[in-house]
Amino acid sequence: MDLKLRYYLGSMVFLSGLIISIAGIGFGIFVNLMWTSDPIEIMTTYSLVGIGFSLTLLGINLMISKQRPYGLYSNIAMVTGFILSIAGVIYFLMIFQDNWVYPYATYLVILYASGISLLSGNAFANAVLRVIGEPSENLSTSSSNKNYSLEDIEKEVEKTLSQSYSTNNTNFSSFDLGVKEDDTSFVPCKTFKSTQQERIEVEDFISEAKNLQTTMTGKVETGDYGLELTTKMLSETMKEKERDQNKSIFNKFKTKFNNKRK
Amino acid sequence: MAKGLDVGTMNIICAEKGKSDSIVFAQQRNAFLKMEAGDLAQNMLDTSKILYTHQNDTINVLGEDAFKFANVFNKPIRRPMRQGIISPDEKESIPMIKLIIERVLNKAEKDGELLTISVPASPVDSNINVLYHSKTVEALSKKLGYKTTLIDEGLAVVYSELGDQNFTGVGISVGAGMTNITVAYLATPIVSFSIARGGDWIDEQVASATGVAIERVTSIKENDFTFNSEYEIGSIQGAIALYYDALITYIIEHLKRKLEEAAPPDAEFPVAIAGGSSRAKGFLEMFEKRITEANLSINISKVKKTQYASSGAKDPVYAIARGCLISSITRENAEKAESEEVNKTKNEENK
Ligand SMILES: Nc1ncnc2c1ncn2[C@@H]1O[C@H](COP(=O)(O)OP(=O)(O)OP(=O)(O)O)[C@@H](O)[C@H]1O
Ligand SMILES: [Mg+2]
Repeated sequence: MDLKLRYYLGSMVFLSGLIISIAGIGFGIFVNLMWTSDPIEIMTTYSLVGIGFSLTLLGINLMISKQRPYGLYSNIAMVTGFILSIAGVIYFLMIFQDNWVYPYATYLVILYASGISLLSGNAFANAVLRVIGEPSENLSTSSSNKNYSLEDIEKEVEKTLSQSYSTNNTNFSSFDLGVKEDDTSFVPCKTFKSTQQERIEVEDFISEAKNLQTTMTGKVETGDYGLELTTKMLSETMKEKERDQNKSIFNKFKTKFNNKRK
Repeated sequence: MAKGLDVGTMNIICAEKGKSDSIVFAQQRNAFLKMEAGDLAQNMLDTSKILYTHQNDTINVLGEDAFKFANVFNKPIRRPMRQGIISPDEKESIPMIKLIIERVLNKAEKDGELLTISVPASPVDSNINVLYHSKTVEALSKKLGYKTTLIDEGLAVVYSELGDQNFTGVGISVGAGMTNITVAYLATPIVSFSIARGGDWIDEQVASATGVAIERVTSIKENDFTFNSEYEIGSIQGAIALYYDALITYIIEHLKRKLEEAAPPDAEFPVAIAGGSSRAKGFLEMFEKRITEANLSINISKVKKTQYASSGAKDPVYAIARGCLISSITRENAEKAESEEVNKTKNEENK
């Protein structure tokens, strides 16, 4: 169903439900409703309020629920809930006059209550979905429209470049990246060959390069042979230890795995 | 010899080590101008040493000269990477970018020469495909014989400008099409992202707000604008100040959000700003003011000018290429050291 239509219908149902409930309550007040009242008055009041309440909830459901991704389940829950609660009201009308005793009254309560809980639970779930669902939906739509693997892109780039500037072959490939076809056979002028690009020279010791090395590796060049040797030996021992440790961890896994198999 | 390459939306810059203690930069504009062959005598172009390509009836003037011709012939410049990156929709201009890159980079002296290229980090405010761009630039350079490594543009700023701080801090490059930001701790990026706004965005916004031609706005912004001067409300400078401020706020806002997602260590983080749009007079002071007001989750110690900017004649646009060069040299040294190590152990074994 069109979302707008659904929303429109929802608000109509909601409003009529509200009006019916209010009418029911108004009627109850008007006839001064009590347990000793005329059964017809009691039945009218309660069925009006009962139907109005379920309609109100149905309206909320219609307005709030979305079609995707749980639309089907949500719709089933909504319809079942509504039918259950209306059935509850009808059942009430049937039993009230003659059979207003246990267990029929209990059936009625269960029927109506389950209908109402389905409707309100469904509305609540949809509201939650809407709150948490919106950002993720944005993400998926923004990234899904152009999804190519690294390989696709590499291949495509390769193809474009091999064709983009060869003097005889003229057509660009038409990979699905939204490419405009264009025939090109550019001939660069002589100046490209005959001259060099102008360059400027700036005095610069580029000391950062050495610092960067130190920062990245954590290694320091000391120029002291003894110190360097010690460092080297230390790092060798550490590496060896690590290797041993890895081995023992691996062994542990292996025995565990074997034990499991047995 | 190692090299560094910055492929920007406005400028393509290559840095390599000079003969003495120096760096040599080569720079070209990443732009071209399409014209009818009849408009120009080709031999005139040849004698004036103008870079162009021809194809049937059209002539494409490339690089710096495109700007000069655009003024004379009143034709729009084409900037293939306007949105920040080479996009799959701009395939027809790849030959132009290829020629410009070849021009500033040259062929590798020997096969497998190390080259570090700066690329934009994934943008937070648009879903443009950075991967296509990176792969294209990388493939172009590989064709010239280089062994390439890619680093984020923001990290290149950190490498170039924050060496004294142990490569800990925030590197920002405010370019033409994009702004790139990297927060690094001991040369390791903690947070790295880009924003699809930069100098171009300011130009466009001001032009549409005031109704003045975009070229004129750019020229006023670059030559006749200072932060914190009194401009009349409704003047072009006033509008430029407004949108510059909006850009700065936007950058800091995103930085703040990104930092809240990460868990930065407890250290001092100086900020280094590079890129052409940071050239505006008073920009640094403005940025410093805004970033202290923002209450970031890291401790900002200061906002630094690029080294070249403080020496007057030179320029913050070179910092990115310089950072790439530093990365290449470091890699080269590491490779050298490693092969020496291998040789040493071999010798020892032989003994
Ligand atoms: N003096 C100046 N004042 C203000 N802005 C300037 C000045 N000079 C240049 N710019 C702006 O700097 C931008 C170009 O900077 P830069 O060369 O760093 O960009 P780029 O690296 O090519 O682009 P990007 O990094 O976005 O890919 C342009 O928007 C230009 O208008
Ligand atoms: Mg740049």
